[in-house]
Amino acid sequence: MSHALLLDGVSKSYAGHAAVKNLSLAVPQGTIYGILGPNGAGKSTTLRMVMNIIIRDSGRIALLGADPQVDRSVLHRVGYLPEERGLYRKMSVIDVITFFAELKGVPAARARSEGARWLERMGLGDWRNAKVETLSKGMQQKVQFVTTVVHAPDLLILDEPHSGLDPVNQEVLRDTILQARDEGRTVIFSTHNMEQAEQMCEHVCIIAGGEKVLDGNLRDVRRAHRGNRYAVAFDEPSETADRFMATWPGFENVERARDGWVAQLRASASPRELVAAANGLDVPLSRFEHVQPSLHEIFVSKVGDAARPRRSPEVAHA
Amino acid sequence: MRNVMIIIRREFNERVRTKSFVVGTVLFPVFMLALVFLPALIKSGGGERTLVLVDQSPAGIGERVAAALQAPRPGKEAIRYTVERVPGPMDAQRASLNGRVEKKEIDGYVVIGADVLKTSQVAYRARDVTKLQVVQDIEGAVTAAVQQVRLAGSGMTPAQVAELVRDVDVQAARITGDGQERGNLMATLIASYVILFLFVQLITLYGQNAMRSVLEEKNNRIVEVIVSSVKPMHLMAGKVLGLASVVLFQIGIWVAFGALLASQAGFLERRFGISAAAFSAVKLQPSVVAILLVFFTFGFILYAAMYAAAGASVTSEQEAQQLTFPLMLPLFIPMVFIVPVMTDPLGTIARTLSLIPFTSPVVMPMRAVATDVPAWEIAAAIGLLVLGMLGVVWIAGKIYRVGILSTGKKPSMGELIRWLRMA
Repeated sequence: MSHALLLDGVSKSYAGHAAVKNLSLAVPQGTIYGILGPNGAGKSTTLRMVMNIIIRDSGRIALLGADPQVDRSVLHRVGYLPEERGLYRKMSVIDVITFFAELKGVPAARARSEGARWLERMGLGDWRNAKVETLSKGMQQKVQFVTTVVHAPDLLILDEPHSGLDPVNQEVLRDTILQARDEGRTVIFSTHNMEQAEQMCEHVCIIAGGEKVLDGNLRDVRRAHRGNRYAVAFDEPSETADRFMATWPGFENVERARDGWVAQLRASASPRELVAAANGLDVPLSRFEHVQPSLHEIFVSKVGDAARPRRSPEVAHA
Repeated sequence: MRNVMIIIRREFNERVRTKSFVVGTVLFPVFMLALVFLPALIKSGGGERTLVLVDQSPAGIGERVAAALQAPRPGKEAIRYTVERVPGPMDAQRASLNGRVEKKEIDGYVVIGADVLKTSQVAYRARDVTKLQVVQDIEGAVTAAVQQVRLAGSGMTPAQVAELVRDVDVQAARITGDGQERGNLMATLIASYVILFLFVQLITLYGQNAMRSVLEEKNNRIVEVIVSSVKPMHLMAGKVLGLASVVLFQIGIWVAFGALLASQAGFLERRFGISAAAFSAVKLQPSVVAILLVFFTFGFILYAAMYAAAGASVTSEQEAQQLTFPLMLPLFIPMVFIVPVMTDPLGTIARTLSLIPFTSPVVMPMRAVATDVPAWEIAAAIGLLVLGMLGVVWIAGKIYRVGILSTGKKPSMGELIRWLRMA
């Protein structure tokens, strides 16, 4: 099996309002996969359908090769961090972790020892027997994260894992996610923070208004969207270079950048010709680079209008 | 099934460790004991009364009344009287007697009119006429005196008269299935009342507990994590059964405590003057205990499921509060009919209420301690209760399943019905 998760034409609507429309995506095993989108894009609804928390209207889902609606036991191999966090406030930290791990099929004794190990790792060893309500919000988030990983799932599904974490804890979270990937697990997380996604994801899927805008390998996505812009710089300031940048006929548009220029090429011009022409100057070319768009730029250009929140009818979601 | 067990265990462990459980478990027996022992300790009866007897009656009645009142009575509860007999007429003395009552020189006065033999009426004036025992004592003394004088007119000796008018004391005891006589009337009534009070209290208390904890899971979104590994129906089952195990554990503690007390009946009788008969209500037959357990457990599950569904269908503590009263209503029915059920446990009202699944969990146990309910009625009631319970759990489960994951505003009645169809 090469995919940890496959969605095929999945839809869900609430009282006439379509939350997710005909969504298909494929998450390769052993990768970190980002589901990106503005607020209200349908990210959480999608993940909840995957976790069988809400029932899809149509489409097929294969989670680790099985349909969770048919074979619930597959959910035992998944760790799920919901968008809105919640723990039993009156229980002790280790009891909460043990409880959730047991529900995932881990024997009580092992759940307890694994829980303790994870708490040590997250720097919460001293809080083992404290009541959840006595912990700070950030610590509670860490405890919640432990409950999603303590049963050593093959797949981690994290809904907005970064929200509410301070920079230090975001770092801890990132390391944990990267390590999970190195151990061969698959991680899917949703976010609207493009920088986070850019740092960690190998694959991304951007959705907006319940529909997929684009998906694929992050490198391929960027390559597909990089356009015709090149960064050019020379070894030292020179008049010939200035003249060249101002007059070369292949340029459509040239902008001065911090240590050089960013130039937009005409469709008829090729980067090879540009390099050849630049090499003929008396100052050596020090930088020539096809400008990669940031995920943020791709996101803004692709999502644009869809990012504006639309009013959905106020209904009791079911 | 394993998941249900895990949830039951969590509910049990978390709940029996709470302060409120410990306090409730300790306070309830203390409260019940206070109910039984305090009257004995505080001595509602007893004391002394000084009365003036204004005697305008034909010869003999005044003396007899005074003698009867002042004669020593058996028992701790008896009042000792000092009677000052004065002749009439009344009108001349009223002002001075009222004055003496006001100054608390005397507690009150009794006026025996000249025509008492004809009218059979005497007047009693006192600071507090609600002290029932005093009125009863005066009534008894005057009645006896009047009867004796009337009968003496027919030629009988006072001894013969006394023998004729002696009171009869009814010694009530119920006959149980095994042909034994058990329990006196009072003990049976108390037991039946305690069962009503206890069952209704426990069901509503723990029911509201279930509602609040469902609401907590829903509002905290804990439920999302749980439902991603457990079926909602199993979560609800675990919660309801977990609470049932807690409440049965609590009852178990009380029963053990009660048994300990009963085994010390002799000591308690000496120390507090509690008759051993009072404990006969505690010593129930095994078959009755089984009936209590069966009806309570099934009834508890029925109501707890309703409360759980209610908790799942609301979104805030306030909305939940509004639902507590309607949920309690079915339990008020046995309270309304408490007198017919307790005094006529084989009557139509008692029989009907003990067949309806919403009232039978309370009414059938009340009847079972008071009388021998025919076996077929018990079997029918259990059958109906189980059917009712399954029905309620089925509907509650559907509401729960949809409600637990819904957010936003409180559903209307129409939406609730839509949920039922959806789930």
